Amino acid sequence: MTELLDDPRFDHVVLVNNQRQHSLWPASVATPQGWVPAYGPASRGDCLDYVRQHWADIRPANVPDTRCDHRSPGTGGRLER
Amino acid sequence: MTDTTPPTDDLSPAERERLLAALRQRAATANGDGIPARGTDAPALASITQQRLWLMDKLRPGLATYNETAAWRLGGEVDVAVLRDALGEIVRRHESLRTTFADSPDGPLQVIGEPQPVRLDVTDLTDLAEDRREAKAHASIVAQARQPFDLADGPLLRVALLRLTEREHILVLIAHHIITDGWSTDLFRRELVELYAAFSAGEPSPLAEPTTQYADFADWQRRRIGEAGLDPQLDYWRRQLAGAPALLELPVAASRPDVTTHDGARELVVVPDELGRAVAELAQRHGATSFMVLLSALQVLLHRYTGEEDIPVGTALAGREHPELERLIGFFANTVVLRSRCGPQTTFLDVLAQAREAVISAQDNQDVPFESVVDALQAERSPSFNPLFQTMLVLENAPVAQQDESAGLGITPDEVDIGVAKYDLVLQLRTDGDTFSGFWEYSTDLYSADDIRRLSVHFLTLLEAAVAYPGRPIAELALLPDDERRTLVLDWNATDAPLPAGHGIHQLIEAQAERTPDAPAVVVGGREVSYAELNRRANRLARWLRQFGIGPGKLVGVALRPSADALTAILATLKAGAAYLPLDPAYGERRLQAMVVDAAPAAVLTDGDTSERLPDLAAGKVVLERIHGEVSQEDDHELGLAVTEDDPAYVIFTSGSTGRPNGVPVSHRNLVASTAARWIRYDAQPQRYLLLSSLSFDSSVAGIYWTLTTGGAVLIPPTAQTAEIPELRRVIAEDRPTHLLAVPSLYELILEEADRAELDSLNSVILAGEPLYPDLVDRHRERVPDAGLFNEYGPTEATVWSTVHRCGPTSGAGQVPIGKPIANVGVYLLDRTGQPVPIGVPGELHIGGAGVTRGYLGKPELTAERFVPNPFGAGRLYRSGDLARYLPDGSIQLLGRIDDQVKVRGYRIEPGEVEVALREHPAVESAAVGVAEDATRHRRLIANVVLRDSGASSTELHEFVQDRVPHFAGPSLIEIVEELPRLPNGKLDRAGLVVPTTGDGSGGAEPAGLAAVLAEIWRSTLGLGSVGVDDNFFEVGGDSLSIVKVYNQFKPVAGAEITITDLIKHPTIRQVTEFLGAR
Repeated sequence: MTELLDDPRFDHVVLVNNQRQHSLWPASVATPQGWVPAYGPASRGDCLDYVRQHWADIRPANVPDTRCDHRSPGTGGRLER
Repeated sequence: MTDTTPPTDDLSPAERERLLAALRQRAATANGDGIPARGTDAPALASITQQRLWLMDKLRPGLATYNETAAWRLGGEVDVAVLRDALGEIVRRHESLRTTFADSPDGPLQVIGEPQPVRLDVTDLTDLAEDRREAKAHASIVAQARQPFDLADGPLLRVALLRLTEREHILVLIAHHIITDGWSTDLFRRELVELYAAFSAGEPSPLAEPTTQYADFADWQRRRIGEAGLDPQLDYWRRQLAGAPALLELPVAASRPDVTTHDGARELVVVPDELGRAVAELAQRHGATSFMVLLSALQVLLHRYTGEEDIPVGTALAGREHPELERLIGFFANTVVLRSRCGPQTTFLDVLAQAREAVISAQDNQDVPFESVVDALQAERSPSFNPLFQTMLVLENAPVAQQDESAGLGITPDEVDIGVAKYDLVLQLRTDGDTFSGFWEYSTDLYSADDIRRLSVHFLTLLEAAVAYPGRPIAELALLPDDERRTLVLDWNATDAPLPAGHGIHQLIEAQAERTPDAPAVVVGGREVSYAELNRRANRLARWLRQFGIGPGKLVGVALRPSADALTAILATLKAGAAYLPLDPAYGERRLQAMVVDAAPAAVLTDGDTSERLPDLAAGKVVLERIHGEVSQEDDHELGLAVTEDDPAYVIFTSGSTGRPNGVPVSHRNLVASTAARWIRYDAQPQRYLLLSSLSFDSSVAGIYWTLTTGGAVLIPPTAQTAEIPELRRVIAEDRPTHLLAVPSLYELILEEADRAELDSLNSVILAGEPLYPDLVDRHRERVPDAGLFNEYGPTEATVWSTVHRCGPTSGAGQVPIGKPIANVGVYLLDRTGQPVPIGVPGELHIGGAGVTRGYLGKPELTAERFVPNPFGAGRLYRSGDLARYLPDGSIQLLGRIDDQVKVRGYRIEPGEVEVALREHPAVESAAVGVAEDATRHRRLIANVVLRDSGASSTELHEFVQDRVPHFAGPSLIEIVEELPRLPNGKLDRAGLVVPTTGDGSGGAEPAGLAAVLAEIWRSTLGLGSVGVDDNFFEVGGDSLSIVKVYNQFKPVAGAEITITDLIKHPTIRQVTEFLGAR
């Protein structure tokens, strides 16, 4: 997908799979099985903006929600010895 | 034979009308001031077209490339005396058949000989058995056809008769192309039939005497060009071909020799009848010709193979626009270039429309000889390839059968392959309207029979798709037949293998500790830590970490050099359910800080020494010595914590193309699969694995988990980080590793320094992380013949490794293959629109399967760009950014980074390959190659070179590298520098190279001595004001004719023997004088 995916002259779409993973895809190429269009066709930049706004957490959706994000503070505060 | 039949017979009515109108107009012009007889017996200059062949013969005497051969089967009895008379009459009628060529200061002259009886040798094969007869006849034809002609002495026509039986003969005609062409051959045959019939019956020649001869045409052509009569046509070609690529080469080609041998072979091609009819129908529907449809398909084929958008293809036109020329034997055929643009969204009909326009315009402007077009465009000339185009399409109309000519000779032409190739690749077809068959004629310098067989299948597959779906984008047209596609996509990725399910990677190590508690797990400087001890220490530290909330979803920085403590810290982090983030203490502050800010570890584990050298990070530091007391109080039994397979095990930062590092979280699922693939792929599991890399590189991952899940010991050099060779030698000699993994450049040093006996413990050597070249493989096989050598490939984003190649004896140049996909991994080489590329054709390497990670930490857009849907199966593909191709056995060969490819003067160049060539020089320590633009936006390849102590001049390096890379890949300018420019991440900065300055800013210094003499000859011949020693002759206006003039003037004063080929191979004055100086 070198050229088409990297080429801002052509329209793109944002595809999403059942794990909420988002991917950029050339608008002119058929949507692969297991993916659905979420945004576009639109410019490459707009598609990337959409991804930034709608997919902040890249963890696959099947990772249990009970897992805290590693950025949240631990019970013991800042650990330093 | 070169085609000279105009490919216009299958024009639509509208097109034919347009063409006929043009022809009528031209005929009117011709009748108005037709081609006059010269009215003199003085020798005429050769035609421009002849001059080109004469020059080529001067450049490369003794080749059979332009020996046009016809073999005609004659049915019935043959009267040899009558045949000889008929042949003699044809030679008498056509002066061209009696012409030879003499040199003159103005160029080659045509010298017309007196009519003489034709020598007709008869070879009698009637005594041989029938099967031997055909073989012998063929061998005899080829042997005669390969005999070179002497253009100065002649004769340039040879005729021979092979008698197979009393009633079956083969008449062989061999003529130099300079006096004939395809149309001429056809005419020759028709005249022969008529004359033979007449002479057999005792009648005189029924043929009208020609009113014009070839020399008249040549004279007229020369004057017409001189009088600017062709300027409008020449302007057309200037516009049409401006900026066309100098060289369009199929990527499957072998390394192109500096001088072509013109050795060739043929591969038959038959377009299936139904497809042929579809081609004719498509043409008719769109007001085009079958030739135009075939041309479009060939251009799309070249586009799909090369990825180039600008596709020039040559063809031959008859060049007989004047009626009086239609009845003449001679070299009239003219070559024209048909150029189309093929973008990713161009449809086949778009290409067909361009082809149609190009063909019609070419016919309107075909009076300009190809040679004049080349000169006008100052197209690059090289003894290595044809200027302006390298691939040709020829479509001939099948000759009307002659059998009905009852009076004597029934002639059936045979195809004769005499093993030459005029161009890189020619597709030559014959048609009777809607069937097409013929052959590919290809240069065996470049292509193998297998290459062309595959290409031919791809051509037919593409043609079929194109006529079925002409309105679709060409990117979507199938190139691969179903079976080949299945092989590439499915068979070569059939890597499914069972995985240990439901485990975190640390649980596999715990299980190993239970199996072999007393075996050494880590060995540092002779001190061993057993599996049981490592496991106990890690359990204690894990429990200590847990009390601070460190568990699943958390990240722990590990800022430690490889050591038993470091492995304990890693294992403890995993046991606690967290992931580790290696922070190499040797990294600069900014880099470490950026990683910590991005990844936000809950804490950073370090030791006293390292802690002092670490900058103040945005995360708490935990110095292991300080907590030793507390940790030793913890319970050392297993924690028994569950992790899910999707929890990260580690986060490793990659450099990233922008220089900003990106964190890649790798899950337990990824890591277990990556580790299990080692158990499967390698016969020998590591008993003693030498860890040579920092924990920040995932090559450390390879060894640690492979070894600790199979019961081996991880050997850690006490000073591993600095990788000092004497220290490494000592470790290897004392600790006796069975396995090691290194970058090729480090392994090269080890091989150089270590004694053979020191290395004999090695069972498997794994190289990864840098391109591997055959010389290192050879050295390994010589020094450590009993150890297997493996070339691994894989990005961090796909978990350590994706393919591996077991290195056997090397062959050929270029990088050593990276082999085939490992267990549960799929590799796809895809073109720019995501279609699998054929064997041998470069595509971007995409990785799917168990190793594909979730993406980049905190970078959803970058993740969405680099991790794309997998059209061939489940999950996503990681786009590696690496360019690679399949070898015929399914192994993959890397070709470089896509971003690194540069184009200079239309040539695609891989700077890495040129750098490798430079580094082969003993005085060169390192080298970087890039592109610089001068003030006139002229792109040149430049090199920066760091030397070892021993010196070398840039001129010496220039010559050295020129011998090792294709001529167009030699850097124009080489600058010696103290150190190479680097990006902040340590990678080479090709955009920051020092641009060497030249003497006067244009073409180098003012010449002196012999150089001054040659410069004066250049000036007078080319009409130049000033000449620099580094000016390229062909770039300052020189051409094929002027180089002959320069040669004739320079030869007597050169002071040494020099040929015209030498001048072409050394196109600058500096190169000529250095060449002469070296003799």
